[in-house]
Amino acid sequence: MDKQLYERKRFKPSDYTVFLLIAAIFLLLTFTSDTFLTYNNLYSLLYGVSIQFFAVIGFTFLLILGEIDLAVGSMYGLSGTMAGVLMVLGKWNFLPSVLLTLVLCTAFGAGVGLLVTKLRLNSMMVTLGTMSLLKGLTAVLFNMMTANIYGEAYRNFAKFRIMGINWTILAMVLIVLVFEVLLQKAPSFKQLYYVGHNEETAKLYGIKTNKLKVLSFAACALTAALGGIIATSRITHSDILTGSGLEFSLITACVVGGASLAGGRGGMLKSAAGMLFIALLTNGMIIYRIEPNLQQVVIGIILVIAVSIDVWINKYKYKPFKLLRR
Amino acid sequence: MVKKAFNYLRNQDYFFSLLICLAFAIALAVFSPYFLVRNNLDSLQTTIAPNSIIAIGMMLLIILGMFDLSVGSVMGMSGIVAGYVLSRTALVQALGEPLVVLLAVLAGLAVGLVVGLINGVLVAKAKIIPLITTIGTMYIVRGFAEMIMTSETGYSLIGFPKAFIDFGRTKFLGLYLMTWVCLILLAVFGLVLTKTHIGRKLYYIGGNRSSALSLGMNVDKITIICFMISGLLSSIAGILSVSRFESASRYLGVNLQMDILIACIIGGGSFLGGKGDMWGVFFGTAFVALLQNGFNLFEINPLLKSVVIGAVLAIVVAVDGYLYLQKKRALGKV
Amino acid sequence: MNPNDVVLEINHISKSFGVVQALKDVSFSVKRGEIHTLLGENGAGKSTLIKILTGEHTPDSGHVVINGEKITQYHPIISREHGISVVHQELSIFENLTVYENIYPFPLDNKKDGIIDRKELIKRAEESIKRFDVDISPTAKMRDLRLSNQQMVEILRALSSKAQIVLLDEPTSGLNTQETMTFMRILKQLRDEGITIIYISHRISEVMEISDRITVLRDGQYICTLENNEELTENILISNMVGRDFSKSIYSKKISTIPKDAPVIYEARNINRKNAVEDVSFSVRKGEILGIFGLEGSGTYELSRILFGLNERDSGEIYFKGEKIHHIDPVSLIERGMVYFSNNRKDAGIFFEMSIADNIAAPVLKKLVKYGMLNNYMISRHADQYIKEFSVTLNSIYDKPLSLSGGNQQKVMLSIGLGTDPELIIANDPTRGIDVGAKVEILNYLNHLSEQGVTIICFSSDLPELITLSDRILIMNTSRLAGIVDCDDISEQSVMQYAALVQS
Repeated sequence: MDKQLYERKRFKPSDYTVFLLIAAIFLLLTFTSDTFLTYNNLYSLLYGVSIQFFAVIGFTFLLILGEIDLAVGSMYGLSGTMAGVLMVLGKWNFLPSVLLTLVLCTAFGAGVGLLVTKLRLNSMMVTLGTMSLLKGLTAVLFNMMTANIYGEAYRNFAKFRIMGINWTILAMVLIVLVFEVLLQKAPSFKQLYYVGHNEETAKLYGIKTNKLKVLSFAACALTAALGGIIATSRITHSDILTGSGLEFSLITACVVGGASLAGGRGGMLKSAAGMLFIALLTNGMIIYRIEPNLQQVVIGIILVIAVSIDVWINKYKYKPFKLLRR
Repeated sequence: MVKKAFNYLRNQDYFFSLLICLAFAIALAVFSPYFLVRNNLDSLQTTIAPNSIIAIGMMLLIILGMFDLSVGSVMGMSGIVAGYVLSRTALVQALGEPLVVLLAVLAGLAVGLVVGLINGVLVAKAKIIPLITTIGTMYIVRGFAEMIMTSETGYSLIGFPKAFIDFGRTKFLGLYLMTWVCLILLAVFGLVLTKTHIGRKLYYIGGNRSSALSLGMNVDKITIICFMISGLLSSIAGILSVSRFESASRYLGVNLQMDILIACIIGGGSFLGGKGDMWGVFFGTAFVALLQNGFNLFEINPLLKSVVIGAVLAIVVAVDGYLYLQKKRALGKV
Repeated sequence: MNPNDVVLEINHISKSFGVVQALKDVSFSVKRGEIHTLLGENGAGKSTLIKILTGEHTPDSGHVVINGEKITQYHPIISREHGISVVHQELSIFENLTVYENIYPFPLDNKKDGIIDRKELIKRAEESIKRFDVDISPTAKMRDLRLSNQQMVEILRALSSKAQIVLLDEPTSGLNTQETMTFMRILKQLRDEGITIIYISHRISEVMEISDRITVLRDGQYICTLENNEELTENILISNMVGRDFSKSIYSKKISTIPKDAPVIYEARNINRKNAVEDVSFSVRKGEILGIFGLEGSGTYELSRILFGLNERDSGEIYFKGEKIHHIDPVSLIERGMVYFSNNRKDAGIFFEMSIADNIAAPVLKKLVKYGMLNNYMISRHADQYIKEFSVTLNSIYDKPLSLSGGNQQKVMLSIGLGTDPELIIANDPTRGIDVGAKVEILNYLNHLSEQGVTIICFSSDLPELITLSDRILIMNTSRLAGIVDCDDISEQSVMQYAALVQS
């Protein structure tokens, strides 16, 4: 075989922008602040990322497919409260209540997926509706059980440590490694990229696009619910604000990481890196005592810039006003 | 005559919203003794009026085939900015009441215009889809509003000049002034949409974008203008609400975009574009307000409201999509 | 000819899109107040010419003269100012609006954006509708109208802006016989009022009935302009449309070697789809290349999509190797050994932003694994096989197809499908929009495949190509099967007769 023909171009600078950004902000904070580069600060930063990271797993699949679930934050908020209601009011044990919650949430996600594929709806519009619906449900459940601290087993869930490290951090590392490999190497996962790049073509070559979509919506709901349960466990009680605006920072993280709203791009490592970038940025803003609300503004501006660049790079793929309707 | 009128109404896009609005109002009046009470009707006005004003702008965008999720944040921000200026007692003493009120109103309106301009340019020129653009500005503007509020003690700004408060309290023929403003705006935009060429252009563009482009219509310019109108109207609603409530709360307009969007779709708009009118705006917002009113009157958990709203939106999107699919089938394009 | 009589002159216009030359040095003129038909096969360059006249395309060389004035800048608004208006083949109506609004999308009498005089608009709309004696209410909603009336409204819009020259791009494709007759009457009426009409159609009988003069284009070249008098016959037109000299071209007539008793491998029975395909049945023998030909709008495109489960069908059955296929969808068809070549790789058929290796691996991902994981060596070997076979010119198999020429892109697209080792190929315009060299290679390869026993159903609007390839040609006309021509009888003339003449 002709050598040159088969030589892989391994390094593509544009793939690594997010890592450069992380390095830059890391160095900046290291040199300008004494509180940043301490074990405690970095550990709690990583711990926080590792919990939110769960929500980004399924979300990444959806973005690769070229779909989106805006209800991811609401699902994240709902799951902890729902498990809490089962435990505190239903007097269920820890495990069954968590499992039932996960099953219900996954089923809901699959339902959304079916709606999107069967009626060929735009997932943004549908999930805008389910976002509000789930938020309302959370509020209702939340009001049923205010100020109840969860049971011991639940509280210990997030705190569980392996070799002195919170299991969520280890899980994050493991999941990134596993899915990074699967997305590149496993046929069914690789198909996500094909669908994201060109759904019509993928259909033409026998890829089961609808099945992939329903499964990804289910996966997104499942991982968001799992993340929400861990997050609630960490703060030991249900909080109405859990997950609010999360969809927003997840989109930002993924797009900064190199995913495209037009689909076909992104990866688990990149999403994790995007989340880390957002976390570092937030951490830096906290160190510099920038108001929490201005932090939101900054992240919003980053989202708009990132999406603009995305639109600019993938110009030919966007049919701007057809995105509303497939 | 009656039959003719009925036939006319049945062919209008807003017919459905008119019907369920009337049905709901009658149901509430029959089943709840508190519905037709003065207090309740007054509070209905204070929801319907600002919501309708915002929905006017939203409806223009929906006719164009777009929408604006930042309306709630813009309403809140404008109200808070106006409230902030109004509650500076030192400023009132230095400049006098009328000038401060004018300044506050202008500052509030500027918020809407600027945000609308940003939205419009990002959508029309940078080609970012409306959903992402306006979700972005929604969070950004809300963030700024919160920043103003964190420097204040308490959850709302109070202590406004008397002239400003009086405006909110005054009634004319049993309706608050804000309701009159709403009705006038509805009439004006209704006339613009039906009687002027620039208004009709929205329907051409929303109905068939590529044909409108090939007829030489300036789509980008009109898009930007409509986003600016949407921002401006949200500001007006914010300022009027602040004047009516005599305070600017940090919760002003939170999650309002959902109610407005649903009101417009129920009122005959379609995410496809090309449909909708001002009657639909009124009946749509009235329906959503009555729905919420029903929750209060029957003492149903008000938190269920957003469940219902979300479910309604999901159903509306699904039905809209289903009808579109049917149409494509009929044309043999699937 | 009095120079004042010439309203429109086309002077040496050439236009190409990439490697495809759509128009080559075309010149002719159109007289004031005549119905002038442009006749030619699909891809003859008619649509490109129309788009230049409406200002949507700018010619590479040559120019247009309207009323003695040379056009220097091509833009829709400028064309409209010169009195040109157009009715495209695809409806461009505003269906949520009323009829009168569709007729008058602009303020009356070029007033600046002002108040709409609804009554005046309705009155004028009513007048123009009455003038043509059709039954449309000016206040009806466009979406409630029949297709033919919607088309009528479009024509009225084209006339509303005081047009002198009206371009009609296959306006009768959605009309039934009676509606077409009304329409013809209206066109004649317009001509008698002094309006020039440039008419595009390939329904020959219609063209002969309506036209004053007919200009024939073929492969982007001007062939001739004929006066429509008693001497003109359908055969003269058809031979001008097709009349290629095969001895000098890449095409040659195929000599069929398929034995008459070869087993039938594929059969389609009574395929129906409302408004697109009407009761089409046919069967294909093993190793045969069946050509399916039809002019634009004849239903061939829809049929090809239905056969591969990409469009829904109302009724109809498909048998493959004697077995009825219950689920007609790409997944199960590919499993059974069929594959589909898309006719427009820009929309579907190729993943432009993925590597060429990934592209070729797309339908067979699950076979290129070791221990359940994709294996790079196997992927590149798989890709290599087809790159060699097709001699695709490229730098690296990890490049994206976007960087290749059209011909090479097409070869990559065919490689994706062939990678599944198909027994039956449904090809839709397999050589569309590519250069001659690549075209010859692809045609040869398809022939080579059929010699190896692969069955091919080839949909194409390129008649010489089908003649080169096909053992039999099936012709569609107005959604129906118009005829089947066996190899020995295949000629441009015989096929075009079925395709272009209206069936009674």
